[in-house]
Amino acid sequence: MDITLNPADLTHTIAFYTLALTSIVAALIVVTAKRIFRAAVALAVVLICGAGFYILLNYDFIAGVQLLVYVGGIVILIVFAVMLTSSLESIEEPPSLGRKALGLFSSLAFLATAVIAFSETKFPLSSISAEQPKDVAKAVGRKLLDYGAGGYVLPFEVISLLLLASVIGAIVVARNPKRKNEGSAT
Amino acid sequence: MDYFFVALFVGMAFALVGGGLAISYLVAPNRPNKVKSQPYECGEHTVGPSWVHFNVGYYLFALLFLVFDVEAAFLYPWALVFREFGLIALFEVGIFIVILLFALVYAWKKGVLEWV
Repeated sequence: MDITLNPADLTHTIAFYTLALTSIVAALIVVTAKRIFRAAVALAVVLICGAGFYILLNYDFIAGVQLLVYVGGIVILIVFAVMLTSSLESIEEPPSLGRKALGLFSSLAFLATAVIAFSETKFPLSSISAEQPKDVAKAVGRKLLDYGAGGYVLPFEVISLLLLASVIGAIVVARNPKRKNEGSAT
Repeated sequence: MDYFFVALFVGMAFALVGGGLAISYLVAPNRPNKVKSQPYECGEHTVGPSWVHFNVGYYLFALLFLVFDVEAAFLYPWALVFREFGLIALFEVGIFIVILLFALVYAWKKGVLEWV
């Protein structure tokens, strides 16, 4: 990103670096926090910063989805999962050197793969964002309801099937069939 | 500058909370004793640790919530443009919602919605 002294761009730059710094610090807290609940809260901060990046890119709708689904949904799910675990109060032991080395190696490998993939890929520019960056949600809605050529109405309906499958899968996996007979065991 | 006010709001939120804490730290006298430092809840002494285990039922509710959360995210762009498409938009979103109603019915039948 070019750093220019144009006032509009300067606020953009300040916002970008503030968000970047906050998300890096929060991400470090996620991996270094000794209490798992604090890691979950820091993860929420990372995801909120992600929404901030989408706003900087003029993708208000995606930012809203990020807040609604990831911050409002996934983090809540993680918090509930943390609340259910038995090791809530225990403080994590620092991992052994071998595990640290393995973690460093795998994260660096992922970083290298991501950097190579993003720099090698030629991303096609969508006509939606070029035309009216402020009406992305409307453009998405039009595409979702469009049943003609180039429309996405079939994927739209298939999404609901996917969500149905995920509900059934989640219930089958998470529900303990024995619990129903036991009654009111907490 | 749509987001100027959002930034202003975030700044004021931090200033309000941080300012309140800072002023009470600077102004309030700090003379703790054993009784004052005890944790209490509505005047009662607390029983047990505050980190209790949640009922597993919460987790299934959270899973269901997440799915319908995603549904709401898809209904938002639909709601913005459904007037342009008229009845067909209603029909398309009707299929979408009816399929998801099966998910709710399944959860209901399996007793996920019953609180134990």
